[in-house]
Amino acid sequence: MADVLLSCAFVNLKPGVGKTTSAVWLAHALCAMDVPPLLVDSDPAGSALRWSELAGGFPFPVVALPVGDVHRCIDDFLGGRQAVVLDAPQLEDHARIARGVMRHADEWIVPVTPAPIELDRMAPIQAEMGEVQSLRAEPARTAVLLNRTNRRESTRTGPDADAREVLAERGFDVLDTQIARLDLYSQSFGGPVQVENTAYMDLAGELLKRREGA
Amino acid sequence: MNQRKDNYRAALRREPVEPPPLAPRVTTLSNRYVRVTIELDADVQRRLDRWVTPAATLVTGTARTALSVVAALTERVPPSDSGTRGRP
Repeated sequence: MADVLLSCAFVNLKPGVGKTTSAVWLAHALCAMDVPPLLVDSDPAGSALRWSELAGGFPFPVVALPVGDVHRCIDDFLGGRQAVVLDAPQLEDHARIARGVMRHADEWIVPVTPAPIELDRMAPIQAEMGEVQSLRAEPARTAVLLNRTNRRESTRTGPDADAREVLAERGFDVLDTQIARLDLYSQSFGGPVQVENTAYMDLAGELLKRREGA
Repeated sequence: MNQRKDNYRAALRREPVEPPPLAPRVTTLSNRYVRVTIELDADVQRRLDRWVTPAATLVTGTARTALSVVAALTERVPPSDSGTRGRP
């Protein structure tokens, strides 16, 4: 793999958990931080690419690679860019593509809403991640991103805090940054993204810091 | 106790779904002095199918091609006595 600063993929078992939204917003945040990214849309639904089209283009390239050997193709499109953000399809329907994405990305981010129905999927996701780790030369870092939280900031009590605590108990690395349930994000598909002063800038900063520490 | 936290913990403890065990096929061979029971793993048939089917297809295809070639060659060779009999 080419020497990139950050290669991260948003993965989950199910659709509709915020993978595409998170990928698009994170790519904008990296761009705003002068870390030019490549956004790889590996979901056959092609939502990230469609979003870019509707928005009149993003300030970084978006390529659609909904193929099982995506990990072998990405370097051809990097063009010296320092970051790759991958939008993986849901594992339950497109396991081969999602595994290809996970073979490329050094950081796997699992967006999770603090709710029992989403936490219930974590054990199968963890099993899947274990299988893909065995295919890699070096293990990927994994992290949980609390998404659609009740509060903007971390709290000491409430659903967000409880989810954070029990995920940590089960050995998951939960990112400090959390993404609140806001119309700003949920209604953003198809439009231009104004990422300044949002949690995604914090997320980009945290991920880059994790990369430096690794 | 925090009920919500307990719900979260219960959700995270979900066991992976195990495939149902395959029932082995049992055959017993016996005579007056000896009784032998053979248990054949049910997965063996699937594995055999996986390996034997392509090989059988290959053999069949090769044989069909060889026969076609032989048939084509046979059609090209004229009968040795055609058109010679009956001439003055």
